[in-house]
Amino acid sequence: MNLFDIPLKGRAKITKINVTGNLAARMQSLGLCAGVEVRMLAYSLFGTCVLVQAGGARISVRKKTARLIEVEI
Amino acid sequence: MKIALAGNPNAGKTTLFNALTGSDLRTGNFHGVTTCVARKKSGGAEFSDVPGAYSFSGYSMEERSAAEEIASADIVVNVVDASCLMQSLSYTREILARNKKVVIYLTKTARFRRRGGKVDVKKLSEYFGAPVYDCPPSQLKKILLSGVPKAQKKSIALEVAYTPPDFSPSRADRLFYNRFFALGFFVAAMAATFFIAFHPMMPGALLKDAAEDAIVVKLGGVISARLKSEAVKSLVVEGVLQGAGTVLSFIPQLAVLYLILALLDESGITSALAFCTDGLFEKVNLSGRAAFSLISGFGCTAAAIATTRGYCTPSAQRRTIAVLPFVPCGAKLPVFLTFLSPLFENPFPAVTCLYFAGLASALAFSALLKGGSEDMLSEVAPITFPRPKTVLYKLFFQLKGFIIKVAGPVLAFCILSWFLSHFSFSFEYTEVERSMLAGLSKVILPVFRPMGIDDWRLAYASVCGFIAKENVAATISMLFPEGFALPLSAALPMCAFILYCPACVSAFSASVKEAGLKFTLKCYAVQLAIALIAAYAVRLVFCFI
Repeated sequence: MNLFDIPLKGRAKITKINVTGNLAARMQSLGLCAGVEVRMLAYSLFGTCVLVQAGGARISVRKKTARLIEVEI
Repeated sequence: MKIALAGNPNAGKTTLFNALTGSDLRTGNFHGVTTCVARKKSGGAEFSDVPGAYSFSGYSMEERSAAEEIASADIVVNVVDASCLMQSLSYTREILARNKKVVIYLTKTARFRRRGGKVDVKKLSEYFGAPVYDCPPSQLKKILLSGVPKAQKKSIALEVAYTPPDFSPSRADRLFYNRFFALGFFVAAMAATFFIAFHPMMPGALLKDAAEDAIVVKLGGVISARLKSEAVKSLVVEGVLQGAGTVLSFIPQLAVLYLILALLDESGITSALAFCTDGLFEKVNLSGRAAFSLISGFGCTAAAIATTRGYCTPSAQRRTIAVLPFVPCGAKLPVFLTFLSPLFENPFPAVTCLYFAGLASALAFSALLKGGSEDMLSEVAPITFPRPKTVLYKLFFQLKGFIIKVAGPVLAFCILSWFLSHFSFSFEYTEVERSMLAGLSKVILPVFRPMGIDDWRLAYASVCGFIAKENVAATISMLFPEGFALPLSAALPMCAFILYCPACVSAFSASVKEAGLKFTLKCYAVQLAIALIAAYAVRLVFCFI
């Protein structure tokens, strides 16, 4: 299951991040790392983008990127 | 002594910078408002406001310039949003590793405490080995200028010094993260703005009429009664008062527009909106951050172009710059009103339609452009009640900017236009029809004839818009002292032309700075072509009706 599949208001733990390079560094500095608990806050118009809470940050992630983040509930 | 303010995006660096140096830089409650380093001397030290960054790896263009600034500073003030301390730890550590003299300053502490956060500043200093403050900015300034005390690093756990607040979304957050509510709210807010500004019985329009009456009729009457020379009278009354003065009378209506935009920015609604509308933007190949830029475009195109620097990919940035001029800026407002007010008793629906048509065209045009879109991974600010002081400050400085522009460049341009329109090629004082301006403008008139414009004065006024959009309204009211009214079949094509025509000189230079001269010229050529085609097309529709 990946980040995009978490139901609204659901919580999950990140298990794996299949991203490399700059994007991975940005995720890490925003607090999206393996082991972190995330909470699904909202979907954008047409469901192209999700808003998750990770620690103190609210981060919007587009579908393509969200699919690369594996989570477990 | 160089003091740099650095930290994560939306930590409150620019707000602190403004407070420390008495500046008026643009702030907003979303990520990436500041896109280039700003400097100002105050109290014997040079302060610099560094764009927000998460790391030194240079993921985005602005992060690279931040790294250089921090390395060269004498003191680095690491500005940290108290609620987001945990996530800014890595950046704070990177700064501590690069510069010996670091002060950590906590912002937004009121909200932090309200949500149950706790911080012990002294223990936190020991944890970092650097002094930590949460005092008011004036006190911080004294500390910075009188020498920063050293802090001893002790090995204590972060949990002892800091308890994070409750992060669960508030009721307002939940409401604005609902995509339908956010979009509906934005449309309603803009419609309300235009209603308050343009409806004839609302404060915007009433104050505008009062201001115009005071400047043009009353002041003009007093002055013309005192002046003897016909030429001087004409210069002062027609050139200065009717030209620049009329534009100044639009201040009440602009104030309404700017106030609502400032409220949306500071409350974090713009940020929530950028997320919620992402689906729409992705469909037209724009990055989610484009929502900020497009909403800023309602205020000023040049300022909006500057906000695109935070984008991670140049192609996404260029696409946004290319479509931004279609979003009507605040300065186009007087122009639309000049054309539409004589036709409609209540120009509110017509002007609102024009503004939304501009936004829709920007999105449609972007969909036609080639190239991939940007991956969006950005922070969204929480919804907060905006601080009245910040909002009023922002409004005041935007209006000040408008007044300076009208009193400077627009006034100078009015005087030049007056001179050209009252002297012949042999420099004799003459009537308008035989002036230099008439001779010159008739050359460009053929371009405007297919729009139903037969008057060279209108052709000239539209061309003036390339220097500043305010000039169009100023020139029209100056060159038509007898009053101005066009039939709908000519006014609408003109409005279409103004809506799509390339932005002013300041937007041009902003665009050159961000995307290069060649790209900018290409954009301007395409926009001019679209403006002409749109205007001709609207006229054609009227021919068939």
